[in-house]
Amino acid sequence: MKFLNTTLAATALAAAVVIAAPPQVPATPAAVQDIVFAQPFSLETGEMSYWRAERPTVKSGYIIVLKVNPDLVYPRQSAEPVLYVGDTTAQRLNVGYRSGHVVAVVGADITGDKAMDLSKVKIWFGTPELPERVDAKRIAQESALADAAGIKPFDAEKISNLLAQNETLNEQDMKGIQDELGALVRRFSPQEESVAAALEAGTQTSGN
Amino acid sequence: MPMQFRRAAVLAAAAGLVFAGAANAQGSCRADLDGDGELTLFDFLEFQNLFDSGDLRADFDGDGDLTLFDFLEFQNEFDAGCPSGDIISAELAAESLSQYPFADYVRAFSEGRPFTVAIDPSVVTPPVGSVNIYIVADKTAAEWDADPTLTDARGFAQPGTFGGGASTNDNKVEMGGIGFLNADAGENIGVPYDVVIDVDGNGELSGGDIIDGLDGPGMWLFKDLTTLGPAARTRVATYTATFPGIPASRDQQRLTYPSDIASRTNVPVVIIAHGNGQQYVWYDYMHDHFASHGWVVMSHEDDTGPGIETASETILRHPDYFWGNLDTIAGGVLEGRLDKSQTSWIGHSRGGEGVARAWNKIEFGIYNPVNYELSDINLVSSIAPTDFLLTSRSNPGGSNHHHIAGSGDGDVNGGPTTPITQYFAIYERAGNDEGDNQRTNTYVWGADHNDFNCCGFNDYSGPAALQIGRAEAQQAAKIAWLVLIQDAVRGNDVGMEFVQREKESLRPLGLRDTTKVINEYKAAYDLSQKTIIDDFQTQTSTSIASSGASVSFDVTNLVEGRIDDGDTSFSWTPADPMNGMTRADNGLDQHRGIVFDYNSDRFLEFDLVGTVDFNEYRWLSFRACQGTRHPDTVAIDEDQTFMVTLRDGSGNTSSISIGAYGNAGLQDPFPRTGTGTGAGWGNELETFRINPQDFARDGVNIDLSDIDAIRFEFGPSHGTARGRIGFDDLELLR
Repeated sequence: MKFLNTTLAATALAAAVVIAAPPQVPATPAAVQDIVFAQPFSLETGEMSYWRAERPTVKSGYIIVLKVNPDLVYPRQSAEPVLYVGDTTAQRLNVGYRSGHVVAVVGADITGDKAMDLSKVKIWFGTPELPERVDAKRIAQESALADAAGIKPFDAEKISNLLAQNETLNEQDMKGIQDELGALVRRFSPQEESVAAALEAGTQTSGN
Repeated sequence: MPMQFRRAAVLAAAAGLVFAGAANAQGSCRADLDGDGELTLFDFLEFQNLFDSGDLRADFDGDGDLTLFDFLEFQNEFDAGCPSGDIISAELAAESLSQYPFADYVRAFSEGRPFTVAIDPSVVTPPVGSVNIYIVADKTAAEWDADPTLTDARGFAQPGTFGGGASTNDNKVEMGGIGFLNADAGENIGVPYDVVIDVDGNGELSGGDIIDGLDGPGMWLFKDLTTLGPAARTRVATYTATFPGIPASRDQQRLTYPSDIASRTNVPVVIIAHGNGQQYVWYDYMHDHFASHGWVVMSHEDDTGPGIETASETILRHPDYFWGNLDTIAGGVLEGRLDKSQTSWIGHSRGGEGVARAWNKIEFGIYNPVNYELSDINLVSSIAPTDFLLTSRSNPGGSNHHHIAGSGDGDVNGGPTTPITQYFAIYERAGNDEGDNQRTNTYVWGADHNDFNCCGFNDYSGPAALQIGRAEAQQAAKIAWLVLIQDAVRGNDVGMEFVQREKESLRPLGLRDTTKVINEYKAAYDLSQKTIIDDFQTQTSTSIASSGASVSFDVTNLVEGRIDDGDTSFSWTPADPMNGMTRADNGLDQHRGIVFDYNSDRFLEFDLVGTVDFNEYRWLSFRACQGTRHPDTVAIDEDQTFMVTLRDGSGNTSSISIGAYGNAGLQDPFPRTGTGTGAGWGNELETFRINPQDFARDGVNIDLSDIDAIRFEFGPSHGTARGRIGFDDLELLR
């Protein structure tokens, strides 16, 4: 009887306290689970990237789709883990919590003269922060932490195979790749139809 | 009665005087048939003449025939004499209170809710015997003069008898038939009425009658503010906004407008910015609510992913595209129809911080809009905003600022762990300098972060039984925004009572009585309209108020300082006296106040500099809260009450309990656990406003023109036995 009372009390307490709270932010650095899509792109007119402090202009790069621990991308208003690809940050196009898949764009020509080789860079989530406040120095720090955590680039052959499946998108500007981005969101994260639709709508004629 | 004379009498009555023995109003006394203002033999002769000539003016019993009964009725009225005096203007429409001052003479009432007609016998002599009480569609003084006929909006006048005792409590009549009163104001939100006691029973507003609303409405009746307005709506699901600086991936706008926009002009505009991981299509409840009240609503994609600076940049640029492309958006239907100067900004979470940052950027010339300007933004409303950028940048400054958040927010949670999620901080930064606009805070118990959109994850954190759910949270939000925007763009300040009075006092329709909404309001910083007694921003000594008034007290553990929880926990510790004050969340925020406690009869007194004429002011206002997780708060675990006392230059006093109005009091903290030991979330500052005239009700002997001190009295003799209190912004408002 005492056990029953204790059990009932514990059950009542649990029901009375906290429900539906957001998941805790997982520890970082944290590797992404997989890369399931990759496609190079090239633009005639570069577009400013707002996803790092220097606001570089992106004229070429990769569209990637990553399989991730959903808790890393749970939509939060407070700082979220920043997605890094090599020596830069990536622009996330969708949330990805329900699907566990994130569609992202990463500039390949942001730093240095040599374009990024996707097969040689690690992809990971770093310390929660606003990407607009992340600069080269911070990226270097986060990269070191990722190295220390044993995060490695994906297998080069895997990347090579993924890239071989898709031709480089050559477009006038970033607007030109939005149909592709929308389609990828719809394909890999179908719960986010409105995100896909908004990306695709951006390619439509404005003002009506 | 000549209008000039009537107005003079009204003014006198408003000052508490009742004229007697003056001339009668024309037509107010049927027996005065020769109209000379007196009842004499000549009136008898005139009756006889009318009777003999078959003139129905002699038909005193109203049966259409001239008979002996008409003479008898004439004789009765002659014997009764003519009502003396003039039209008396007085406050009548009230919320009935169970304790002194027994009536809360307010202007806003909810449709169908009971209300009272109350007479303060120290101001107006209550009529003797049964009288008819009318609720009449509002008329101006000129309209009353032109047509004094009393036509009750319910379809019938209500007989009522005032007790005639010495207290207001003896002289209250609860209004009946209020279900017959129309509160449908169309796209507006309140219907104005006048209340008249027809003392002489002649069916007209005439000498001796008492009116609330001769010059301006006596009361406003408000519909269910959560329901849609009458305007049909047209939505443009999405369209692209191409403007320099708007990223290609964040360039969509969604639009809803009244379908008959082509026949409208000067239409206000509401612009909505979402938060991180949220969508511009998640706010259709706002689109529909606002557009149905005749406004145009645009929500846009917000670049929140990178951060607040980028969010604010899209918040600034989307309106630039909108205002610059009215000729093409939705086929150009908006062109020439909108009033740019009546724009409201609403932002959610990172977008809520974003609108504050956007305001700040324009104010300091960091961004110069192409197609609009700062003065066009009438309202900046932040829903549970983050605070990444802190004092100097996320600062809505002098804007008409509104903040709304839920106590069960599991994301931007209002806790002390990090400044980023202390949503009150941005609110506190508004309205602190001369010339700044008003600010309003709506704190909704049991609401979570995504309750304010359609589709975000349920992040509720708190006792399960107190979760109110998305639908209810949005009801509370719709009420607040509707009255705020009506005030901002249409000047209907009566509706503001919904965000100024305690929710328990003005129970809005459409919201459950059990849903708690904590209202906080600070009037515009206009020193011609307010006198600050103590805002604790200067004169940091606990014995001197910012106004220079001397402060004395015997409440215990009084500390004056920044209203900033000093650690990262809500656990009570004496080392952190500002525990729970998640208001000034970094060293640059200088909002200050006091905290103290008591467990026996104690006081806090402000001895004013000289004496102050409280008759010049409409409100005595202050804000206060209970201190979360403090042993005295925990021990009480309920709303707190205490007394507010005025003392005049002769030492006379009058006291009112803060629990008198709606029987509420100072809200106990939301019993949420986490962030330390114990239960109780952030301190819930709420504003109390007391009409100084309430201290003189029932003829209490106090000279409001000569007030010497304001004294707050705590403890078992004055209300709650013990407690921990936070206190700030003691002001007099005109």
